[in-house]
Amino acid sequence: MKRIILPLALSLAAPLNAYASLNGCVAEEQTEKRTMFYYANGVGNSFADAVDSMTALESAYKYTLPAEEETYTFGVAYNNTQGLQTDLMQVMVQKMTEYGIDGDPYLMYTLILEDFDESTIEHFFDVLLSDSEIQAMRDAIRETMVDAMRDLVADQNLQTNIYESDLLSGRRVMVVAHSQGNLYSNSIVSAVKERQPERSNSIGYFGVASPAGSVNNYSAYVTVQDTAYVTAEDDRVINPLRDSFTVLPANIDNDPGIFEGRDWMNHGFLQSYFDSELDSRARIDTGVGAMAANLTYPATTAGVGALRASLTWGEQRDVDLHAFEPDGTHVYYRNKQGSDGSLDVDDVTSFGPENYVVPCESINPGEYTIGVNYYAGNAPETASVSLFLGNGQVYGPRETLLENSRGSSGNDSPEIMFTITVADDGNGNAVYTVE
Amino acid sequence: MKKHAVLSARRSLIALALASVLTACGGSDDNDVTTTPQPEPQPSNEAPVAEIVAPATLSERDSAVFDGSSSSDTDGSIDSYDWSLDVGDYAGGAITMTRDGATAELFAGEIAESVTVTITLSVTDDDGETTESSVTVTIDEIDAARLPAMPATPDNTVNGEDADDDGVRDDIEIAIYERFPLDTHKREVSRRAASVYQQMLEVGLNGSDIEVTDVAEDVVKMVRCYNLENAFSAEDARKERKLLRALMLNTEERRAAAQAFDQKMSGRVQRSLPVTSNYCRLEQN
Repeated sequence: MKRIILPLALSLAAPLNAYASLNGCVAEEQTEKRTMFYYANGVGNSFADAVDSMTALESAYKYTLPAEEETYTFGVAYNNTQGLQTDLMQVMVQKMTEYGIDGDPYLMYTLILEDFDESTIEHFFDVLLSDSEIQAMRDAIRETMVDAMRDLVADQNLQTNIYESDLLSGRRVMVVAHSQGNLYSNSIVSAVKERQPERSNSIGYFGVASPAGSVNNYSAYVTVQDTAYVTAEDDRVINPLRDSFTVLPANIDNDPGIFEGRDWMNHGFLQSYFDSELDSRARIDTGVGAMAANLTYPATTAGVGALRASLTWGEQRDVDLHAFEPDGTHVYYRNKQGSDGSLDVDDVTSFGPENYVVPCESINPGEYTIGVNYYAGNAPETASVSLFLGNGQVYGPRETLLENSRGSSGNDSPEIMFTITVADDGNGNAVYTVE
Repeated sequence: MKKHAVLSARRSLIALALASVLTACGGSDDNDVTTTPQPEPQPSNEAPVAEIVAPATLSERDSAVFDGSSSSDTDGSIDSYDWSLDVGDYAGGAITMTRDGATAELFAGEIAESVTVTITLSVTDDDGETTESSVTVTIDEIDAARLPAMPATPDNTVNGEDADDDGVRDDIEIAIYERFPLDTHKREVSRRAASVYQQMLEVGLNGSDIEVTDVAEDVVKMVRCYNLENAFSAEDARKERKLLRALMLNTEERRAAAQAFDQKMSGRVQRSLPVTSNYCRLEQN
């Protein structure tokens, strides 16, 4: 009778691992079905303001939306209204000079915008404002915001890379867009659907206070009864835009009657649309629920893990992603499987993406370097690399302008985009430092 | 003749006078004089002694026990202890006392300035006699005392002055105290926010994208703190955070730095992050 001592044989055959791998993923989302839920902010929001609204969405939906084995991860897709702050300070200084008020215009703007009471204004400015003075400043602020929105050119931006990476890693992408965020989402979501047609049913957005003329150019969304967007009849930022261009019609009477907690522009996301006292909240809940139910999970072609770098570029033929691992292994199109990670998506027909990923349990201490080489093309090309770490943090996208294609001669000296130093926190978990 | 009678009358008169003088001089009782008996005088009651063992000072947000159990009565016992608190002109309602027989406990909440109070113990002995004793105690306001001095030139640079090196600009630290003199929780959440806004100003103009991302993480946590901590109502949280930001961005240079930060974050994403409660409150040092 043969007795095969397999375990011993296997252990002798297995290569000795020079490192002990660390646990690289401390973020949640270990379920198979994952959805990224982004908030695209409105006009005149600081980054902190946008985060505030995202936090409210997360509180409302994180534990109520998921079905079994589903996880929702929330984030903010931030867009600054460039130039608005300068314009606002100009009008505030004008008004304060007119009324003979000394003091900081940004403080006055904040007190008026957020409807602080007169005694607070008096405390800081030593002046008691009349109702007409307050109204005049409100009007000036509102007009300035409307002008900013009217003049906005909401081009596609780096969020396109992020959403695309999400889809490629098997995640659905849901966006709630407010105010100017609708214009950005229109551009970005359309672009992503164009680049990833097989995944276009995996991304969608719901509009709030939309200045857009259409929702994503998809009539399918608009005809779904009242769930694709909600805009209040008395929204005092959206309504003036109707004089300048075609804006989606208002579709709700959002006046709550005597319990008026809305902001004085009837436009703010939290106070004038998301508040649970308002009828618009039910519309948002329905719209979000419809996306959660109807968006499909895309196939995973790009792995996620402890460390993931995602490269995209434009129309030129080929830009390559390169990764160097702590033990010196060079991972690129000629050597797709490294010691720790692998190049699991390698596009040679333009746009990208290319994806290098180290699985959660394969990350090792030491230095990982991510670079790009312009392999083939006829004109300068911009390469964009995003870095996703197992602690949930996203870096970049970092862009670089590649002047001339170098072919394989550039393989050993790609342009470095990120250097990640991985260390042990003392408990076998990976700690990341990025440069 | 008549000479004898006069003399004897005179003698009788003198005798009578003598007798009455003798009697008036306090009368000996060894004659047959009848007197009303007086009662025996009793020994008088010893009054009790009230004694309080107490601290001389305590701080706001603290409490102290006042112990009257060493009070005594030499010729009996203490029947009852009666404590009273006199807070003088203080009208804030944060200084209270509870009583439990021979001890009392003084509770001090948040106060805006130091208060001197008087605590009186009245003890009654088993003969019904009462004695009082009082102590005065100063309750120290400690927060205003720990504030840094207002800088002479708070606005010369984007970063400003932080003499006590706690991550909160000194003029802002003072402004936070002035806004919430009686609420440590609100102050500590505001201080954390101010320290994050401070970092935002520092990296806004010249920070690398890594530094900007690291601060963006802190902004996410800081905003979450306002929701998590319940120091403010949901509506007030947003207003107070924005007011704090406005107080911090009080020069064009600072506004430019904040704008630069926001512009660097534009077009990017930032995920939600968990936060531990001990991050949310930055204590005053």
